[in-house]
Amino acid sequence: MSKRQDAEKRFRERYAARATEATLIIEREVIGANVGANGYTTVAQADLLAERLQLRPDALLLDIGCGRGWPGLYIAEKTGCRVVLSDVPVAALRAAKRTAGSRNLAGRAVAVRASGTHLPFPADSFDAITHTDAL
Amino acid sequence: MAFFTIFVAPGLSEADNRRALSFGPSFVSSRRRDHREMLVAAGFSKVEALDLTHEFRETQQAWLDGRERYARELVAADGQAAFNERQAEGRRQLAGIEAGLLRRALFVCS
Repeated sequence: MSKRQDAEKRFRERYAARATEATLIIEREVIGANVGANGYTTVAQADLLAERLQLRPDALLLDIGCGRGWPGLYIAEKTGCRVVLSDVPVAALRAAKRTAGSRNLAGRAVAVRASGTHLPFPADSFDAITHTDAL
Repeated sequence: MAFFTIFVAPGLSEADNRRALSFGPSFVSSRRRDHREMLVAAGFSKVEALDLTHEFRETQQAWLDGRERYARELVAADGQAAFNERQAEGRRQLAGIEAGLLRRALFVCS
């Protein structure tokens, strides 16, 4: 199994795992909130990212390797922008769509199954692009 | 574009570069080129970088400590093998950060 296939398998398994009381407590302690994160982007860092992206409310953001939608959905909520969430694991994208629905962001968030190395979008489709430890 | 990324520290020897790749998260790769250089080569200008390696270390340590504290619950949910694998991966990354082999930064460019 190549390094890439191994990573995809690991992420698929992790995103398919059910959140438990313990995982939610740990995430709150480490990340600062329950946002479906399993990486290193804290709430404070997501705030910094949103600030540096300087998004207008009508802007379109692409979040590559979005996982369960963190921090793309948070940035959309905070700035009013629209967001395209892209990643490979389907379980992660489903979780992202559920979160978008529960935060009244369904009309401003679209999930697309795509690898960061083969994005199916024409040039100049987005006002801004972000990714968090995905590439 | 603004993004966080974990990368192999620049200027390492071949041996340290290989060690860094073995310590890093599975998606970390190295073309042995500075991120700023690569962004400029890709047509971006006004590249800013903010080093967050210290925060990366703190976050990694917090994940490890948190999972250790709730080990019994996590093992019950996911199994001992998955728990051990996750903790071993975290400890490898922490060792890589502390050895100066892995870094994390925010890059902002337009």
